[in-house]
Amino acid sequence: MKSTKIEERERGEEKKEKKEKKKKKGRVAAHCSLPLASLQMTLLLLFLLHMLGKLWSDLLQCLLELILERLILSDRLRFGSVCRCWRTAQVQCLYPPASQIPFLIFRRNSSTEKRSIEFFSLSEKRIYEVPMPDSGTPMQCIRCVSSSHGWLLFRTLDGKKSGFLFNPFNRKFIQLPDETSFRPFYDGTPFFCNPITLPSGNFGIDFSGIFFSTPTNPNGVLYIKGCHRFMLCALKYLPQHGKWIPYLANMVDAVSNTIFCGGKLYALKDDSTLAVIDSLSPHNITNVKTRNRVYNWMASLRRDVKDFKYILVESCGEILLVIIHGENCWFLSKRILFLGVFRADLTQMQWQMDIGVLRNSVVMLVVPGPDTNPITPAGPAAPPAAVDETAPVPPRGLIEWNRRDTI
Amino acid sequence: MASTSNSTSSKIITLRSSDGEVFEVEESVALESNLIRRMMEDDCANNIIPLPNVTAPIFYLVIEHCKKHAEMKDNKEKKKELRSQGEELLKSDPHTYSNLMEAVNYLDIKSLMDLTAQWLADFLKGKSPRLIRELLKIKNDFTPEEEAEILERNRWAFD
Repeated sequence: MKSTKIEERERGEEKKEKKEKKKKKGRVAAHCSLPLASLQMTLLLLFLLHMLGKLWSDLLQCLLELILERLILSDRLRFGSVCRCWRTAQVQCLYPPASQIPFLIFRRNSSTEKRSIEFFSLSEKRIYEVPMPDSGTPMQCIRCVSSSHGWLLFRTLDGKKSGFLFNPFNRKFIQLPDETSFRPFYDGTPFFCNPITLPSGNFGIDFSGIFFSTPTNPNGVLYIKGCHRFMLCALKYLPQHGKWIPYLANMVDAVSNTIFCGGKLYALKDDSTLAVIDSLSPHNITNVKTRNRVYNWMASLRRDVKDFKYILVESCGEILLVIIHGENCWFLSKRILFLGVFRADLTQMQWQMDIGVLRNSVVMLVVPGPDTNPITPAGPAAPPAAVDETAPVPPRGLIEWNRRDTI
Repeated sequence: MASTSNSTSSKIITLRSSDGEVFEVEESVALESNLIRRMMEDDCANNIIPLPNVTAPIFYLVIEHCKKHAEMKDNKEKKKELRSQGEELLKSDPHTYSNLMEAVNYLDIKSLMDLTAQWLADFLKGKSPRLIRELLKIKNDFTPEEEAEILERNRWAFD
């Protein structure tokens, strides 16, 4: 690099000398009295001005990378379109973009006509708009249900009952197999708790899933949730047919809560055991069991109180179960909320009541709405974002979008 | 290296820039540069250390920044001052700033490399490519077709 630069400078100087000679000839003929020093000065200035446009783009690759690793994704893309040299640096840079708070995806009511989704960048406090591919389904019948590795999982709500994956950054689109392809793996028990309400022949597949790994990876695993059961499904790409098919699946019973964290899916069953499923081998399920003391406590809660909620959360890599129950207090004539927090001990595979070690960490509670899953970002819990009160964040229907490892 | 330095704190090191100007710098400041440190460790810096890739005005800036940086440890106000000075330079004379970055890289001063890169990264944040070109006086060397293709590929980031 350096030698080429020196060469370039030398070439520049040669040019300068030539210019000087030419100019000298012209000027000497016209004004013989012009002082030589000022002529040199103007030439030097001209030369410098000429160089000015070049120097930034001449910056060494290692220096440009030093800047690039400090830029977030959107700034990085803009950086790459300034000039050729910066473009090369951006394309060749191996550092991931600077980490940022995940984007929030939302759709405003007014934008249902447009084929686009919008996302709000908390780091930049602005909205970006990403056009959607035309999948043949009207926008009103498409719902984004989850995200992973920069991919978005969409569910279609019209008659077809299917879904697709879309990556807004590399614009790739993958149609998922429709529900008939999952039939061979289906064991007969309905997905929904009330099968009578379902039309005949429909066993209630619902693509409200989490997509574990990137579709370019052959180990793509889809998690498909019913009302109280879910199906874990590995997908395989068949290039000759140009489509994805399920080839390995497993059904898990009676699940009230699921979260995905660190490559594993944690599903809370009705008897308070926690199923831990590795995304790479969906057939292999281990259970976090309930010890007697804890079980008694949970059971007594269930017996006495009708109104209680189980919420599974991930905080700093620990899996916590938060039990909230409300009781009417007769002497205060008030409702009181009680909280119980359990920690999944993943070495002994048991629930622990003692959560003293977590006293200094923040527990993030994601309270599910009537028909949404609690969604937590993959990896360690993201710090709570400081949002400006004036920032136009839509109040409902937010989905966290973790896109750290795209491009 | 330290074999000759009997007087502890204020040893003076002489450096010569590419255009022949001679600088006298305190050892503590000069040692921020890993290049000079290595040269001194190899004992090839007996008299005057030549710096063929750095011109005098740039070198003057580097020394000034080094001094400030040494002072700024645990001092928030100095930190702010240095930062605002760097940003001012970037705005008023981007050409010198790029030279400064290269000189700092050549002299291998890790702390200043990080600082100058951070200032530039902060400067670029949220700015459109056109504005960046205008402010830093960079020539657009894409053909219109190439530029259109780049914009189209990630249109969301450019609106």
